[in-house]
Amino acid sequence: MDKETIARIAKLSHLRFTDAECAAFAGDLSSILNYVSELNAADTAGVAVTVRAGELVNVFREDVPTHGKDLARAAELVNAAPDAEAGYVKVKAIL
Amino acid sequence: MDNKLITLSIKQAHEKLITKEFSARELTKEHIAHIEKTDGNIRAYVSNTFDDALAEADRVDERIRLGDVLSPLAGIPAAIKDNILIRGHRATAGSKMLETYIASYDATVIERLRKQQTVFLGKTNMDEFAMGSSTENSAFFPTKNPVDVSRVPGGSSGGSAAAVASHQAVFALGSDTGGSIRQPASFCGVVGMKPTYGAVSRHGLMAMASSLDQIGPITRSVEDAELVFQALAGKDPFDATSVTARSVPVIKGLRGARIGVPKEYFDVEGMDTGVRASVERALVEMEKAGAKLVAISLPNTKHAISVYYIIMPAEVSSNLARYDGIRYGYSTYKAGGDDVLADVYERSRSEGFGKEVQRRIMLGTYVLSAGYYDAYYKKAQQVRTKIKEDFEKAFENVDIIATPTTPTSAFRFGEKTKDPLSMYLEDIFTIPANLAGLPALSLPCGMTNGLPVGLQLVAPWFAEESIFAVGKEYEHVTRGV
Repeated sequence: MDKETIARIAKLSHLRFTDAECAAFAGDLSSILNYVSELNAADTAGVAVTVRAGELVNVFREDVPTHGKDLARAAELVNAAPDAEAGYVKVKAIL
Repeated sequence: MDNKLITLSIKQAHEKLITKEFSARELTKEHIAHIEKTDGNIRAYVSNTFDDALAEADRVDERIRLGDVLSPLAGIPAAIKDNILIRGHRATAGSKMLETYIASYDATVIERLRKQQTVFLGKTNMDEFAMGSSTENSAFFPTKNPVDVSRVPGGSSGGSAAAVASHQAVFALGSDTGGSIRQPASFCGVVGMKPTYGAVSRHGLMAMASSLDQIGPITRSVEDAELVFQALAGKDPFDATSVTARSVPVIKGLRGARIGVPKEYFDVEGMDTGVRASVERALVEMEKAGAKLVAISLPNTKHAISVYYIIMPAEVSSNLARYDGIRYGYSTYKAGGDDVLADVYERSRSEGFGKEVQRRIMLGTYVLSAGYYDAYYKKAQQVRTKIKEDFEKAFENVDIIATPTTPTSAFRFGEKTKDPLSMYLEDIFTIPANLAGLPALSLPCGMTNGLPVGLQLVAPWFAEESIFAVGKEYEHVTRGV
């Protein structure tokens, strides 16, 4: 795994690394990918994928608030953010 | 142990509470005193909830005074892994990212235990976001194995296992994605159980790999594990993958039980001969008690770690995207500079997450990225099907499968931290049950070089009762309990 790939994956992951960290990740990820490449030996022709361990059932339900109009709880959630104003979470400029 | 109050099983404590041999407050206070005396060394807990614990104990005492019928877990002191939310208390998941995070709601398992009036003593240490097999990946401090403090307690639920093993709690909750309940239980000499996928609600458990995660009990006996499991299990509208347990055929004990012994679990590289010998002795004990041992093969076991280390990081990379420094948790928002939004994401995540978490996010992002999806993710999902089919086939001929829980006993601090892959191989015997969604329990089956060995029992989907029946009888014949 080269430096460019690590940089691309870091960008997609919203992570930022120093050159030394990139080099360490390249080594670690290469050795893990090398290990898991043994899967190529498994014959999977015509085998269906398993996406989940359990069964899938429809779970439609009425969309009703469980806590009603609980303003104290809403304030609690908003106040967990690093910055808030008038009941809204404040963020940095997007661009 | 000179203090009898902290060595009791759930059932014993329950009986003594209702016969007023001691009060719930006394039981809780003894546990608190024991934690204060021993946890400076063991470090099982990251935070305590002693005030709430005593208040709940008093409510239980009031009900005893009134002569009310008590639930089996009423007044029983318990420890909760720190990735499970208790409203109003810190929930760090062992991460700097959530060092000051206060849970805004109760997990469904907490609500269920509250209904029984369980007493919560505190939150236990863990590998960061449940990623690790030694609790060395905690952002705060490592937890020690109470059996030998120079060794790790296992992980990721290492704090929960250490708390139960050192009598700092009667039982604990852990979470298990690839062995995180069973492996530490095995290392610390206690019982740990991962239920059938969907049997217990994951609502309020910080998601790691959603198709694998399950919450389960860590206890000092199989009977206790059964009591806690019964309290936790059930369908929950807040977890779409939770289900009402299906009624399936179960066995009632060892007599006539067909126990599958998969050869792939007794011959892997690096397996400790003492571990193998202990498990083989346990199999002989079960045979003596009337079980029939059946040699079976689970041929795709050899692919389990590869499948797991593709599927799990893929789900991790998606689940941990929520930790972005915007709504809660560690944030560089106020650190200054001319940052735009994307800088806050990147800097918060780079500073807030530890190395193992970042490694898995990177790996997951890679295997899901354009051009690699079919080669890794799809392939892994296909082999996952084959692993599941191995079990389906095996359970046509056996009632339960018995294996070692881990290839080795507890290792020393630092022994596996330099090479991530060597740590991953720790989970070789526990991962298959997660990939297949099967219930599995680890219980102590002797010692090797002074360290506990775990016997793993795996049952068909929703056949937890078979595991409890076999486990209880095994404990009865070997420990006389």
